Amino acid sequence: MGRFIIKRLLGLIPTLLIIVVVSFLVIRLAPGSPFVGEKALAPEVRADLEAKYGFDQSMSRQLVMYVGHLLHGDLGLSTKYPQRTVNEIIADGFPVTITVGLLALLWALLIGLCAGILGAIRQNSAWDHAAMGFAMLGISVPTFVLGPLLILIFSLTLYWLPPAGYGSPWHLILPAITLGTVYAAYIARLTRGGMLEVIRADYIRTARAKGLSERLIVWRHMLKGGLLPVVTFLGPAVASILVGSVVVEKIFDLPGIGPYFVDAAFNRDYFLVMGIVVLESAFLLTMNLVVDILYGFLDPRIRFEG
Amino acid sequence: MHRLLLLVVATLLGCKPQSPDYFGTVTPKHSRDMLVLNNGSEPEWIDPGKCSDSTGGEIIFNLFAGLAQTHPQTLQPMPDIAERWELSGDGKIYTFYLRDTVWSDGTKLTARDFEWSWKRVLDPDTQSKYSSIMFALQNARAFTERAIHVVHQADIEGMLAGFAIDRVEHPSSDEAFVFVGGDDNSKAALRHNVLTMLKSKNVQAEITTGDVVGVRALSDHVLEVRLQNPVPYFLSLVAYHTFMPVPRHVLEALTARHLNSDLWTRPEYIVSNGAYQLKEWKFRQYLILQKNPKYWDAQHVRITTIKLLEIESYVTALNMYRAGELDWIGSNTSLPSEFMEHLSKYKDFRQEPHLAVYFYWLNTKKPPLDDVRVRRALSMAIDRNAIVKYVTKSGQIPSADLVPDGLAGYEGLKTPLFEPEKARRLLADAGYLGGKNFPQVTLIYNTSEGHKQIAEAAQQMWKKELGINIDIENREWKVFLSDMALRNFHMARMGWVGDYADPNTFLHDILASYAGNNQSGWQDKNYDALLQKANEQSDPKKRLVMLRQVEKIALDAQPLIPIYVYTRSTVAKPYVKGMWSNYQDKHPYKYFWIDERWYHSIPNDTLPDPAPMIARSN
Repeated sequence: MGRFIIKRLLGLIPTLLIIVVVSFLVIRLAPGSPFVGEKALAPEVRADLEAKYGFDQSMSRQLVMYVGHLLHGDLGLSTKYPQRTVNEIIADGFPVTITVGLLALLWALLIGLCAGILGAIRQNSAWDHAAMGFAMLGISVPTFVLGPLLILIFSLTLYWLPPAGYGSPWHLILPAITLGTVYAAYIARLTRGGMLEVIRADYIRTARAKGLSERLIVWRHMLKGGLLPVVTFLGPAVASILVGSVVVEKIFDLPGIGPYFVDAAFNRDYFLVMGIVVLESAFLLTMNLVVDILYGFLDPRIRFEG
Repeated sequence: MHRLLLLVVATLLGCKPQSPDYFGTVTPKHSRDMLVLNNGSEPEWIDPGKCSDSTGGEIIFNLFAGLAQTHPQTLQPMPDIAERWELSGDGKIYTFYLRDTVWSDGTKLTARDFEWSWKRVLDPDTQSKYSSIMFALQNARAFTERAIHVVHQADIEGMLAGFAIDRVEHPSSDEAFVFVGGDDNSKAALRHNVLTMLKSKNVQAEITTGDVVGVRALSDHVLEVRLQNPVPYFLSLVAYHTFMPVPRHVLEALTARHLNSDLWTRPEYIVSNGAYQLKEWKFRQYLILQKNPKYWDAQHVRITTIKLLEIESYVTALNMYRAGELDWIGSNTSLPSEFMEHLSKYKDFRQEPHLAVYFYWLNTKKPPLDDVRVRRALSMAIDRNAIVKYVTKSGQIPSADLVPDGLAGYEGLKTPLFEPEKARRLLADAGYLGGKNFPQVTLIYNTSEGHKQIAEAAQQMWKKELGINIDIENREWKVFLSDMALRNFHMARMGWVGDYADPNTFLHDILASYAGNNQSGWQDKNYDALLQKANEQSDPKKRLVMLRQVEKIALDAQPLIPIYVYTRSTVAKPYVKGMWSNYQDKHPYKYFWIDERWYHSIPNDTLPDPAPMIARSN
């Protein structure tokens, strides 16, 4: 187990390095520059600006310098926000994104698991149909429809919650629901499907034969089996929820890191793009590893090969 | 349960008086001395000398004060930190007399602060993206572009033979500035070589320093400004944020502490001299401006706290406005055309013309656009009225002129908006009868639904009127800009926002041969000479007449196709008063106040705004 984790962790390093090199080249070779603007810039000023960020060096040297700084945890300077480093920008926005993400995850698990379990143990009942109807709706309604819809109802008609902004717990409710609902829907379907698959399995019958209470069977045996597909889904889902959503953060004007990925690329804010890429890929790779480890706890048949 | 719900609904409706005449709530949600506005996005800089975006500009105009300011309605320059000024007979030397004023930390503000701040902008080490706006000052350009300053050397041109020299300027018989040529990377080396060569021949030469720039403090209260050439609109320039002072003492204190002096605008360090000071700045969330009690005219500033949000999406801004969380969506929130029909029904909708022109650049170096007849035909075949009426739909003013009619008293040329008959004839003269054999020409625009619709309309008009097929292509913004810079286009969409209220902001800044923003490749010595002559004219009326001739030369050559003059559309709560309307969409917060009657009920009349305070103080 320990060896497995160490081996996988070491495997992350070359993967991450490849991601860094490829994204660096892609963004740097894209036409345009952070310093071209609508108004002409004195050539001397532009040359000085480029020197300040090291853009006057050869591409290979810039890449080596970037990786060198990266190893020291230095993500470089932003060109769009010249008074800030990429580290500061991410440190500012990441907590916001994480907070909303965790709330969304909580919402997704709560609603998704309840609906899924309900659907499975009362298969083909009205409860099941309602739960799966909700799931279908949640999957098909995109966040850019759900968000404005919630705002229209709760902010502009009922005046219960602020339509956008950040600063109080009230501001987090609508974004978390908007972001979490689609995941809730997937979780509901996966939980139901997973549980139905094991509901007639031998070990469940054995459990029943042992005389275990129905509640114990559902919670300890069925759910554990039913959760496997959910866990597989949750790995990448948690990673993508926690690095933020462009749409949700724009609609609700949250100061998280979600929009940077797109905006920084449009602004050719090279180091900010790279910073987000590194963060996001490190997150995704780690979450996948966590999922693999969790499998071992949930399904005794899976063994880690050292 | 039902009763509780009823109670909740009743309370909610009770405290939110609504009126179908307005878009959203109309009762202020905050105290009487506060306003909440949107400013669109996180500013790049709020340093007056370095700022180059409108988001930063909006904040700076309210935090800092320059020598002059513009009248909120007429945009005429009025005194601010300078209480008066004089202009020499030849129109080249301004003398500004400053009031006794202090920075928000109590430090005295003197003419020396202005001298230092202006030279800081021009210093290439400062890396200001807006330094070129100061090139009207004597020797300013030589300083920014690190020209080699040579004195006491008659035959400098002869000595430079064999070097790649861009140009040599002789401000006086005894002096020369040598601007080296070549690309950005080789310039520094070339400069060094030229300097070494000159020194070896015992010529007195050095890289230009700030000392020769035409701005000098004669005393704490008197600032002398020398211009390269007469600049009739110089006072409008001086009111621009690049000319506002920065607190030298704060920057130097940071440097002394071995900190990056660029950080001086952070809320913990910043010191300003305008109507407001910065109290709080939450990155990508909001800024809070607090009334500056030390501003020289603080007695007339009525709103004490301004909260500026940074909402990027106009939909979100409108939601906030509708819920009463915003009092004004701000001048940096532009509304798309499809909202106009709906929003214009409400009383809190405002629309005003804007000092900005929408046009297509023509690359005059690329055939077939190197033929003036083709360029004119393309312009005449566009039905501008139709574009404004059916495509943009926001009250824009259709225009085939470059300079908006009425700008600072300028009488526009009123070029006909649509001449399809003449266009066909010109195209036939150029050898493309009925559009036959017309080469492939592409119009590029930066990705946006609005630009796309206009380009499609123009494409159809060219097809219908001239029988030619013009391709249209979109480009991502940065790619678009670099294509422009490399002249890698036939036709390209552009919008030019005037920086100051004078025809020169269009005639000079985008069309002069040496203007860095001239993307058309069109150069006309005659045009440059006449423009300079007009600007040397001291009688403003005669000057405007001459400028008309200048504009005529440009439009006859048609290096660009003007389409319309922009409008600004916005929504502001009816209780927000003191929002003067003007051509530049500038609304200084120091004139704002709240009509308090709206806290209780909806009044059925509007209170008049008092005349701007500066007019009174003069």
